[in-house]
Amino acid sequence: MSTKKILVVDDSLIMRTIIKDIVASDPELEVVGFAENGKVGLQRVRELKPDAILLDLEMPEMSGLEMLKRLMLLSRAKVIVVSSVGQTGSPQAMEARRLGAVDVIAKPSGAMSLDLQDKKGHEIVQALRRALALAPGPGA
Amino acid sequence: MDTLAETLWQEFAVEAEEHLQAIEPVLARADPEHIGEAEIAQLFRSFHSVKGLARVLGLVGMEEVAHRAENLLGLVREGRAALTAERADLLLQSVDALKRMRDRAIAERRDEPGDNALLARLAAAFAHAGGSEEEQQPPAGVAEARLELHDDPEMLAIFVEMVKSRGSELCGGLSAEAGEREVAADAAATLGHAATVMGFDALAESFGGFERLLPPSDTEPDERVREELLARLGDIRLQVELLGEMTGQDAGIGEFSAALTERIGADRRRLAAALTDANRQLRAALATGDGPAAAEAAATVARLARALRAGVAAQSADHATEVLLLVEDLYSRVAHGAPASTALADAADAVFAQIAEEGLDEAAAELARLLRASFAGAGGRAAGGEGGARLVAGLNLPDELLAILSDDNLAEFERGVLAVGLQPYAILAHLEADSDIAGHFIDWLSGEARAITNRTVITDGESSFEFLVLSPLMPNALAELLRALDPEHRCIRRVRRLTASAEGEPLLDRAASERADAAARPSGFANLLRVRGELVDAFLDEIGELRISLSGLTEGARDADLRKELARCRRFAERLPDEQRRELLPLLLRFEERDRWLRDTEERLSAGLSRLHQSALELRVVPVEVVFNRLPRLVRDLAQRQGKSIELVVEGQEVRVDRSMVEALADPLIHLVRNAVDHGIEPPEERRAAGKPERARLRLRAAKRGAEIDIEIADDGRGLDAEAIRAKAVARGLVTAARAAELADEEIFQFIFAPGLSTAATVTETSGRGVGMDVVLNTVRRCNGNITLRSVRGRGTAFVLTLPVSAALQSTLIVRINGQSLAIPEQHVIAVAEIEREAIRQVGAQRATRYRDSTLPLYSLAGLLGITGEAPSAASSAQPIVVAGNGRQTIGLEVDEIEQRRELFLKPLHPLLARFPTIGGASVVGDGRVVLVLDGEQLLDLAARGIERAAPVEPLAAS
Repeated sequence: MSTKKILVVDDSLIMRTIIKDIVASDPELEVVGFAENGKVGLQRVRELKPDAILLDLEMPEMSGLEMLKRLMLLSRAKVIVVSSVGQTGSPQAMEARRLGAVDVIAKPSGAMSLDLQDKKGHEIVQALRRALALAPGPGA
Repeated sequence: MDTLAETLWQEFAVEAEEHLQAIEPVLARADPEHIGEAEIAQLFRSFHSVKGLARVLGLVGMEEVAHRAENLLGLVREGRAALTAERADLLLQSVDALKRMRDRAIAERRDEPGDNALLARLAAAFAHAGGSEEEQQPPAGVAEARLELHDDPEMLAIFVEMVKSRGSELCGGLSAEAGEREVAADAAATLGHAATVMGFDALAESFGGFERLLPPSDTEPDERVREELLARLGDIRLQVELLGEMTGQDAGIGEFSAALTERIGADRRRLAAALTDANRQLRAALATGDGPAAAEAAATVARLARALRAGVAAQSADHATEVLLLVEDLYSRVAHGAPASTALADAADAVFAQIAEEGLDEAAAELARLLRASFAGAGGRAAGGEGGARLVAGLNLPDELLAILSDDNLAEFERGVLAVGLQPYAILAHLEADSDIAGHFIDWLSGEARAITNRTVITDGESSFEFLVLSPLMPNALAELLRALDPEHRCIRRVRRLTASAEGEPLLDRAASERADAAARPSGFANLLRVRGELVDAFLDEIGELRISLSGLTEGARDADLRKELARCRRFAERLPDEQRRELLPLLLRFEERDRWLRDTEERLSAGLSRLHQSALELRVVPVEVVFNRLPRLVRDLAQRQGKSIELVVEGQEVRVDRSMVEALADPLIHLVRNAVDHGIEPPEERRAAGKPERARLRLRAAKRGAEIDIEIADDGRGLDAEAIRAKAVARGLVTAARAAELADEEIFQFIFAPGLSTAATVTETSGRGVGMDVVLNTVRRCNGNITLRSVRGRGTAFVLTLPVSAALQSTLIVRINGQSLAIPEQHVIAVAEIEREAIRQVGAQRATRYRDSTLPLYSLAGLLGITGEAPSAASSAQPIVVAGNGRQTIGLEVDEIEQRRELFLKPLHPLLARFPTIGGASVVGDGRVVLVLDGEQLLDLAARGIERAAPVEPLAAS
């Protein structure tokens, strides 16, 4: 069965790498592209038509929220926000949800969370599976 | 005058000039409609830049003109209007106005309002081209957003209009009437299809999903379906709102919201009741510890909250909407496994109660706080609200950092600072700058330091991280460590220790040290330098002086006689008796060796100085484009005024000429171009009759040929009328009729350079006064250049100006007459010769001799120049002469002595001297003598007039 296509949008190269590793742990999910800001992200969405997007909020050129606004018109991809300002109930998290993000996950140790995989890796994968209507993976 | 302000004005002056000069030639083209996209975009940017520059200096008038011009061009750029000749004209008028305003602003340093008539014309043109009122000032963000959504602004506009007209019909899906439900289904299908075509997948999904959800028109939707329809309408409502926001166009959000509000009257109460019910089920499940049941109940609450939110949002009750969203979010999490509590259920109940009471919007803030507080998994601290940072453990922490700190983080932070006595620092780093350094830094963060958290900081389109770090190191030690880690400040931008004050204690600041460095450096770095012309000239002068000084050395070093003498002495010494020879010979050898050394050194010095000189001359060289820039506009204006159709082709703009020639060339080129348009190029009817294309072609071309430059102005017009010129020349007495008949056409053409000659039937405003061509020729000559011309009757005329690349240097031949040295420019020197006195014949008043199989008239240079003094001594039997000519005449100039060939650096002439005929310049030679440089052409002229008046020269019998 074909894998689901994931686009990773985050302004930090380190985070993009870490997130890619997180997604790679699940055989049914595949990272097909990256973007370092919202503007590039929109281009990639047009090119790649991903099934889901992991989206940071604080980025130069075009923020995650601005990208979400356009995605709300343009793309069917399910958007999961992964951000240091994404604490449950925070203003940014709420705005992201209002603009159509299906889930918001907080980075555990700030914008650059080297411990993202340890602390939230599982949660991110589960959120993706849920959004993509896949059965919960192992250890859910 | 404040130097910063002064610098700003200078920058403004130069840059505004550059932009305006870049705009003109493009707009002045004959076919503005065919100007390509890229150039249109460039024009737009140029106007935009001028606008920005004007704004910086508070020149509102200029800004307004530039803004309106930019707007008009914006329509062209978007493909909504063509760049017709009228619009191009109007834009050129704007350029004129901007130039004038710029000049005035620089002179008077103040703002002036734009010309109202021009502004009105621009506004009218804008409206006429399809620009709307709002568009006159679209916020920059909207214009860009439009492009991101869709490439075709027209299609986008149509789509948005469609959404506006049919969107609200979707709300009919909730209606009790079958007819309205049918309409809703139809609207959903149509809009869905349109959205698919536009590539708006999300919208297409919304409309399509909505359509699919609708039951067949004869069936009314049941409660469940109704809830879902409502939720989807809420989504669509938001999409309509965003569509309007992104495009700056009304997408019908008002109508949609109104239609939705109208339909959901009863739903609100029903939903509020259902919510309370579901919440009760959650409590029950929590009490019995029934996980799955709790999850299901929570999911129900989330679903219902979403549906209710749609209606609330349509009423613009923003706070209420937020609260409901919060409920939806929190309950979703519970449904996915997050722990729930009765506190949460209580808070939610309070919310639902308010819905019924219609007081949700007001109570929203408090309710939201309650909800957040009650949710177990919620992390992060609420923002301070009043702005500013809060003190944590006595330290001033920025709000943004505080917001992302979890409870654990915060506790760790406080513990570290208070109990263990670690130092708190904020480190701003841009890790993408250097991956090695970033790696080391991260290692340090993960190891010795305790990184609490970090946040994104975006400056200048770059994102950095600000790390909140605890470290056992004291400030100095930390600064040391970080400096060692990143000595060039590639990654680490700012380090400060957190204190009770907002600023903290600064330890490292890349921006500040860069500013300090820049201040220490006298000027900034750049690939290009703007240097005042006078500085370059002064530099060149110095080098010139140096060369002149060196030439004295050259003379001494190259003294052949001395060499001979030394050799002779040596040979003599070699023949001396032993004892004397031993004494003298080594000395003489040393002298010879020193002489050789002197020669070598002088050669190297000369060569080096020559190279230095060449490099320095390069500083003075600018692209010819500078002169060419004004011409397209001129051609366009003239063509328009005279009703002619002309295409101007410009080539070789990058060819470079000496700066001094730029101004000098401007007038001659303008005159030649004017001539070509006025007299050379025929009106369209005449061209048609002659079987030529209606559009005439005028070509302006610069090309480099060795150390010279050719500038050609060629037209495909009428060509010169040799007969008319012949007649005029005879009539003016410039030539006898008989002689004129003998002359070939090419020679006749040269008469157009004579002063006072014009064959134009009417003296037009633009040219034809007959004072032009001779001035042109003189100007070109003064640059040590020349003009040649070709012309074919009926086909066209071409003028070629030939100029040296560098005007400053003059190759000359130095001669001596009556004890005075004079320099003759090499370009007129054909040869140097010594004629036996017997070979000079007298014919009437003219002396002549046989030279290379032709008769060479001879003139005393002193006589031509009117220099009196001692008559040349007839000591030797040979008369040195300089054979001089300009391709048309050749004469022999008698001089006392021929000194040498010399490259002379011309010095500016005193105005009194400059008026003296035949003097072309002055210079200084090796021993400090001033040497006058003659004007070859004028010399030849003087001689020529001598020829005309004398009797014809009889050919000499061969001797």
